[in-house]
Amino acid sequence: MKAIAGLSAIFVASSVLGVLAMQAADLGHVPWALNRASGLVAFALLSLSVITGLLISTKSSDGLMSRLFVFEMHQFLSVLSVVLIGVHIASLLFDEYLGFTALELVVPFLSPYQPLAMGVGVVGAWLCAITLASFWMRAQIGQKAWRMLHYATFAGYGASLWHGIAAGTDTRMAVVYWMYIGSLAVVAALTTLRISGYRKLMARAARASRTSPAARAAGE
Amino acid sequence: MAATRYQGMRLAISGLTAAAVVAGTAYFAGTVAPAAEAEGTPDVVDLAPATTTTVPATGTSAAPSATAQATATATPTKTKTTTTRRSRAS
Repeated sequence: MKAIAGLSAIFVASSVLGVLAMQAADLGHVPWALNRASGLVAFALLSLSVITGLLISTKSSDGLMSRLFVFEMHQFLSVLSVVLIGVHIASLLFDEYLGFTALELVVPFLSPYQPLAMGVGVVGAWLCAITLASFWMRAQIGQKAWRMLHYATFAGYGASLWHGIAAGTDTRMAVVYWMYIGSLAVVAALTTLRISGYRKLMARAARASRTSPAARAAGE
Repeated sequence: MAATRYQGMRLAISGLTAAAVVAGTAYFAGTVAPAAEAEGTPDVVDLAPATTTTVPATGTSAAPSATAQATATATPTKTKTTTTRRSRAS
């Protein structure tokens, strides 16, 4: 735990120093290009994270992959997607054309450029970060709160998708367009399966309680 | 246990992610939209200063420059502005 805290402190300190050092440099179009690339990769990773999460809850991957493996990948992809979201946001600090301030990048709807689409993106980033943090706070906040918080992933995913389509400049690229379509199709299909499975489970539980000896005795 | 078990997979995913970001950055940094496309997009950025070439009319006393000589026609004096445009939506 101490090692993780130490590494995190080193990472934050070196990031701050790096930001200060690079702000004076003329980076040309690189920050903007990095912003686009990291945003698209972050969305791909977020999609995979949501999909692996749904594979666990729907048990769709049982028999194909071990549940532990899917869970580990779900957690790792979530971490990686939030890291990439961080890169996506931080790269805008170095873009001279849009000239965002740090505050505009972390507080929703403060952006002078496309306030709604950018604001939704900031909300999505916060939701993803909060959901990720909940991985390690499960014991502290309890199973019920953790589950409720985990549902925020869907809002985070939806916000990220909307942000990508509305604020992104690459939606017209075939590979990006089909990534959005494919991701949405798989997530929607698995979510439908999840909801229908949950309803079936509830119906089975209700049926079982009606036919239980205790319930029959109460009816008589 | 699980952390060491899937270390190879994590490294592979991290490597692929880094490669995708680097390749994407290199691709986008090298992409410049054609001027015709940029004209139609709302977020067009003028990155290069407008260059002005004055083409003197034939028969004027001033000696035309090499560039003007190459492009001069029989038309009266006029100012031509060429602007290089780049688009964010490249």
